[in-house]
Amino acid sequence: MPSKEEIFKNAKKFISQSSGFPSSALKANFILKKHPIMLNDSQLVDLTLKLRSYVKKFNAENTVLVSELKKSNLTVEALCELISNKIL
Amino acid sequence: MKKAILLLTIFSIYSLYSQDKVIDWLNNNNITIRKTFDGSTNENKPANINFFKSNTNDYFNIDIGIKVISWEFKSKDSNRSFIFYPIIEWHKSTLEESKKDLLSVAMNSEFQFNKNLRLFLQSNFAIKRDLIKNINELSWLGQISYQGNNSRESTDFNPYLPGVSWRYSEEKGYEFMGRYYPYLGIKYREAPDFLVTDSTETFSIIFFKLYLEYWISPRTIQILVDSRFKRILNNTKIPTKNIPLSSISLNYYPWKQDALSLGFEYKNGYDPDDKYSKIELTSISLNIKF
Repeated sequence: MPSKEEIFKNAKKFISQSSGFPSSALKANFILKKHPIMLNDSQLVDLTLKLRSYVKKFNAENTVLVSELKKSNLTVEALCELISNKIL
Repeated sequence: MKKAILLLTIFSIYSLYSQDKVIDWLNNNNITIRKTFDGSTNENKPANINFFKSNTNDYFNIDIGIKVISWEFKSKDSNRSFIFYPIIEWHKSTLEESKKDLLSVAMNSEFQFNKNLRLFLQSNFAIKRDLIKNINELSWLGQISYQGNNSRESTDFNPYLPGVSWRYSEEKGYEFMGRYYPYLGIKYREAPDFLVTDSTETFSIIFFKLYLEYWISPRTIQILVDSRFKRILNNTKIPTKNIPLSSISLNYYPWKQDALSLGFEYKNGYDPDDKYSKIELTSISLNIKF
């Protein structure tokens, strides 16, 4: 089972892979759908499926829903917490 | 009309100050508001209320679409996603030559792959009620596009592919610069009183469209290009089979916020909402996004 720090690091890596925004420059209070990340619906689905696959590795009973990621004000930190809670 | 502008201004200022509360409430109730959810690129635009002033007459437009709930199938599948959701829309114009007052209910669905074939498909089935003529129109739209890989480390990363986010340099904080999407699709319409009273036009259209978003100044000045080419497949009373329509808009977001913008739009082509009549329109608008 990964540590909370590892989960946060991987969640940020997936955000970076779906948005093209470097994970090293991601800040906790950045909102996924707004500047500077600006993920759109199609990219949010892409991110959901990446995270779903990651969660499944450690907790096959849990999943990530597109609707959870499409919430307007979802921040980087809130997403990392969400994934952490689904795994740990 | 002065009263309407005053009310709109007060509402706009209030919406800026109360934005967080409004967004929280909408989020908690899974409500999304846009210009439309009809599968067109207008889905990316905020709901708007436009006021037009000309030498001959003044008029206003309202375009608003509301999504209140969505359902997800295969919610544990990591390779594909399938969502569907109902929507309600209201589109009104008081322009004398093309008055409209349309209320519609629709069911939208979205399907997306995440493996080698990174395609996404969208469908929209709608029943539109014309509140002026008291008639119903039925339509279905299906379209497909491609989502490029945004992972810079990946071997198949290509910045020229659709859906890849372009970004400014490190000095500008890797701010979002733009992206584009091409779409290929088909639309079926059963439109009563379309050209002739008491006669229903039933026809299918294939289309190609290109959507481009580009920020010439990060977070402040945005250019949107929406260009479509449609072709009617059946023999109809519509005078032309080829129906191009293009628009370019420039939006200014003051104070680097994204709730309120001032927009300028130029549109040229054949208007699907006005019997495919030829239009050339320039407009300014105040846009509010939740």
